[in-house]
Amino acid sequence: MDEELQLFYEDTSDQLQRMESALLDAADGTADQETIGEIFRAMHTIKGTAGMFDFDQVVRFTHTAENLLDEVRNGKIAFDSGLGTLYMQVKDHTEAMVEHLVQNEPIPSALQEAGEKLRQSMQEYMGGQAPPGAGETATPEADPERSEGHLWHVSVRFDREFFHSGMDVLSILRFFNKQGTITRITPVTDSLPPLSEMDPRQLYIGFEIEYDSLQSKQEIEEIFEFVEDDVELAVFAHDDKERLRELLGRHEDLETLLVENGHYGAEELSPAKEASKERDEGSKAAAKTSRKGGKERKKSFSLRVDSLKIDGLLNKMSEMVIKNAQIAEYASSRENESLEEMSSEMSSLLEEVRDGVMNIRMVQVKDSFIKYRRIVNDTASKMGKEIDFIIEGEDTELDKSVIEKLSDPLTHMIRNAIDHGVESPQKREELGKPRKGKVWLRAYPDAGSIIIELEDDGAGIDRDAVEKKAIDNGILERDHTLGDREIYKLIFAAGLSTAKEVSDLSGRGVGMDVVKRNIDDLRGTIDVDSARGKGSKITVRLPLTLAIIDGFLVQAGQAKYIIPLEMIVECLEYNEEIQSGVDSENTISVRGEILPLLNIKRFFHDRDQEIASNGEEVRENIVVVRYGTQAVGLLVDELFGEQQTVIKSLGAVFEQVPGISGGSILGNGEVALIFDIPKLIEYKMEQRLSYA
Amino acid sequence: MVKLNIKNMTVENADALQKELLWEVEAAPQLQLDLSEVQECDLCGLQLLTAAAKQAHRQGKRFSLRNLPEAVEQNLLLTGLDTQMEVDDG
Repeated sequence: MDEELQLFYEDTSDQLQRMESALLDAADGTADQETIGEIFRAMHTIKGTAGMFDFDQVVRFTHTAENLLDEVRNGKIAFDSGLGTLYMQVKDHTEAMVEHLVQNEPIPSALQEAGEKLRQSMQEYMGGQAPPGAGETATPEADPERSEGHLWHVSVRFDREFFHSGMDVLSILRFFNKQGTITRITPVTDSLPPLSEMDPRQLYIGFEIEYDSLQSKQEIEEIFEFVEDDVELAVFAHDDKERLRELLGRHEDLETLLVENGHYGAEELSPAKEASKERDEGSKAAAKTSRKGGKERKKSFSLRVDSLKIDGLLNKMSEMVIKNAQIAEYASSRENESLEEMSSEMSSLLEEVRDGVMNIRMVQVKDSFIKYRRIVNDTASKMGKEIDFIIEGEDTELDKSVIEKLSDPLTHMIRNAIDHGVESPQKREELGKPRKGKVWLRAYPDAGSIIIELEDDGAGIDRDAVEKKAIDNGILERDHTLGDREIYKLIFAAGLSTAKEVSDLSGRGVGMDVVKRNIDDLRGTIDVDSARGKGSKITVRLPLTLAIIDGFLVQAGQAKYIIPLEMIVECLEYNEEIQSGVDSENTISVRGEILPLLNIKRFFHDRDQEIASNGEEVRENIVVVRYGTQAVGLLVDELFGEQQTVIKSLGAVFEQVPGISGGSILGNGEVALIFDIPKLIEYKMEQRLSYA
Repeated sequence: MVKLNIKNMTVENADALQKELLWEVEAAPQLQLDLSEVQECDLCGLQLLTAAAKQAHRQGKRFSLRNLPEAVEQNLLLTGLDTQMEVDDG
């Protein structure tokens, strides 16, 4: 997809999402003018941009949609639930068309037919507008005079004493927007005197307006009927070059202003001037534009940047962090204190820059959460359930790439909660619960992680059914000793579905295991809690970022390892005191509490080193790590201390090494492996279970 | 940041508003104008804001608005005068 198409696609997706959100608002209750306006603007903007790419089918389609909305805005048609549903289809159809077009694919004929049907439905709503002999010539183009909006240019200058007329210019502009849409407005401020010299009761500002409306020239002029003596007014079709030339003749510098503000393209206007003057004016305009461009750059604005560029920046940052660590090491080996100090200052600066770059990638979960409302609505209506969907913590920030990857698993979890969790309204009433089920989607930060929580007040998980199924499928031994929570977690095991009948939406036995895998890929964990008859809660814990961690460097055998700092509880010397009397190979006793112990050398089969080091006494240490509610002691040799760590992928070959999430290059060029603590803990717990 | 202590930025208060804006623009090396107290505004008020912004820019000063009430923001957009001045978020 080329860059412009990409922009078109992103812009359209934005508009459609806003439209959907407005439609959902409208479905909640009454649709106010603002909500309708939002839907209208989405269709209108898409029509405009699609026109620039000559996507005629989109233009035609959105044009009809826009016209019908205009009738709604003018109060001729009520926006009822039928229209709401229709416009949801319109939104989906537009999306489908755009998706084909941006891939340079033709629109499939089935889709075209569906679009035609939708257009007809919209035409039917506008019944009164259809030509009388609708029978054979019911095509919308049959009456272009009525259905086609016109683009007008309205130029207005006011009498200095206009404020005394008692007419409010703002009301006039608002009235414009009721009868059509001001698609572009440029205030003309060049006769505005300096603040100290102006008479504040006089009006110096005029307006150039691009106006999209079904109204005639006369109707537009009538808007100014009551003040016609106090205004200098020009109304003409936007493409009427003759009248435009007249207007430009009357006002100096107006041409530049109109081009700068995008009313007309520069090439559109140039023939309006004589050939000799043309070049001169053109260069003047260009000079002005660039000057203005310079001024505008000072303003705050938002920008779309390809995320790859940010990734590239982050990568370079990482290299700098590594280089700086090398400098620090060099300085300390030479006992060069001033260099050490500089490097430490550099390090804190780098940290700030790094945080800044990381911050670019952080976006609020709001936008992505909104789309789940649609999924909830659709799923609920398909299943005949009534759901109150509550979003909490929507301004929580999360790495954009994490949010994107979260979309599939979350969608699945939500569908699942509605399909299997929340009971039907009848059933709920029998149980004495409110008819409407509740589903909460929450996001909040918690100790270096972000928690995403999905809770429902439905039936809860049938523990016994899960247990039975797991035993039947051979996932679980008959005489297991698992607690309730661990049983619930089995719903994430592959090939386990307790849905009694396979429904359209979920319960095919694939799904929750895929959810688990997706979350694993994000280095997150997932946990379930449930109470029979009361509901269930799925908690997803995600790391804040995927690229850099604050780590703690240790050595075990020959290899160096990095432990994510935020997961470390404490470091202890491994001595007789904490060796557990029960099963000293696998447990330790920290202040009376028994913790599982993982011997890192043994885990990674560093046998040679174990044997070699037997001769000399190696002091061993324990690092206690915690993830979620689970703590484990890791047995290592040496502790080095904190280290800013840039995560580097180990490549496809080593990607699947259990317990290692990546590698990092140390200041001295050595490679350290980064522990995947959740995986290690999981491994240890499983091992313990199999012992039990 | 300076809070504008005028509730109605309308033609009735034109003189007071002009005086206040003049004073602020001249006094500060850069002006961040807090509009949270404003309840009403018409084109006359917006015109004065525009003039103040232009004045500040001529003197090489930064001029920006903060805490725009809905009414002011809508009117700025309606008239396209939002392009004439800077608006800070938050």
